Amino acid sequence: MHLTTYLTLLSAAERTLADSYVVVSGGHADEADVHYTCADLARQATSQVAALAPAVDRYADRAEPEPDRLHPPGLDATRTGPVGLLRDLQDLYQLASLVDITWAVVGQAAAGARDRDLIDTVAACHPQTTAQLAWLRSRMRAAAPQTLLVAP
Amino acid sequence: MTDLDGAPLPAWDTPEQAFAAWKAATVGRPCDYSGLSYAQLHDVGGIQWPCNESAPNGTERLYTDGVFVTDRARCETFGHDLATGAGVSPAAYSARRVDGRAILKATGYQPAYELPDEQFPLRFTTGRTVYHWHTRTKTRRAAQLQDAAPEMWVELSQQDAARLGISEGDIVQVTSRRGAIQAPARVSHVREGTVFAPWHYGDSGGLVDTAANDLTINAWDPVSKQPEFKVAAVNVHLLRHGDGPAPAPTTTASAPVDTTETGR
Repeated sequence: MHLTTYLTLLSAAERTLADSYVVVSGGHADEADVHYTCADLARQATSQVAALAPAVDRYADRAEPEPDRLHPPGLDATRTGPVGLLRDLQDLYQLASLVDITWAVVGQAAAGARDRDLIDTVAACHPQTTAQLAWLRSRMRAAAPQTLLVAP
Repeated sequence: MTDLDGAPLPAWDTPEQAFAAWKAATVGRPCDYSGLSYAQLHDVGGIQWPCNESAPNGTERLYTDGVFVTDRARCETFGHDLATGAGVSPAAYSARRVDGRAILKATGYQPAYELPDEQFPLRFTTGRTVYHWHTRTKTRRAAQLQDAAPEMWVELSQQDAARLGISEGDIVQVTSRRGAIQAPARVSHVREGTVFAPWHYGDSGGLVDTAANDLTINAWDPVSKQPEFKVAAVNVHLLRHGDGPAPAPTTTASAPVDTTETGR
């Protein structure tokens, strides 16, 4: 079944998201709130990979052939300057959005399968990703006027 | 400066007129003190808001009816996610149907932004002594206060001081990833693993660096924006032995462990 496919996607995308947060945290260390918040969100994404691991294992024996280009790319480098930061946050937003809707999709399948453990995992993890999106939106909106109108 | 009618801006000349203009801005808000007057403040003293037509003598206790100011239509902002500082949207707030109930917020544990490690094994925290306020712009001019706490010091626990071979009054260097300070050590009752430094002495004249906040990290609380001056990671080295106790007050939290040292 393709729930296996999507658990694989979700687990890998969370890992990619965690790595991307680490890249942005390190690349924008002079923006203290971005530096520390991204480091914290990297830990959160990593803990979500761990939370999902039992479900990934349980469904591993029911794998189907995966569609092409299943996995999203992550950030392997940051851009410089205020507009570079804004663009990097947009990349994180795109990736976190994919993770967020994948949690929703997996949650629907978990309910359909009456998989109580997986339903609980989704209930614990999905709101964290949604909160990550809220922070990314807030941070980008806060940066936008200065970045788009004033920054060099 | 004038307003569009040509009247002077601001529209007041005296403190009482300014107060009147300011209290007019509170009408209908939770902090409504439109009923407050100079005469009332003079006669009664402190008066708690709301103080208006329906509560002319102020309000000693809020929310006695169990209804809080959380009604959607009354709110001007909708709060934040405590972990990240992300704003709560009006739509998300409305969906919660708070309807006058109080909101108690919680957030998961997050470690300090910087934790002690092998290179910087001690926890650094800053604060005040009772004799001074911030950078002493006023308190250093009061001879009694300045004499009570005249110069920079740092505090070490008895256990850490013993391990590092440091005695009361020895000159030590405290180093973090961002800077270093030098000061006499007070062996005090701070917790083992913790170094305390007062932040009053940022202006030593440039001979040695004594600004405690040079060591703190550049970070702040995501909601309140309160800077993180309370936890950083440092190491401590003995520079040279001192010739007397540290110039830290002995009558306050900085009292020495060894009471045979008289200090100042």
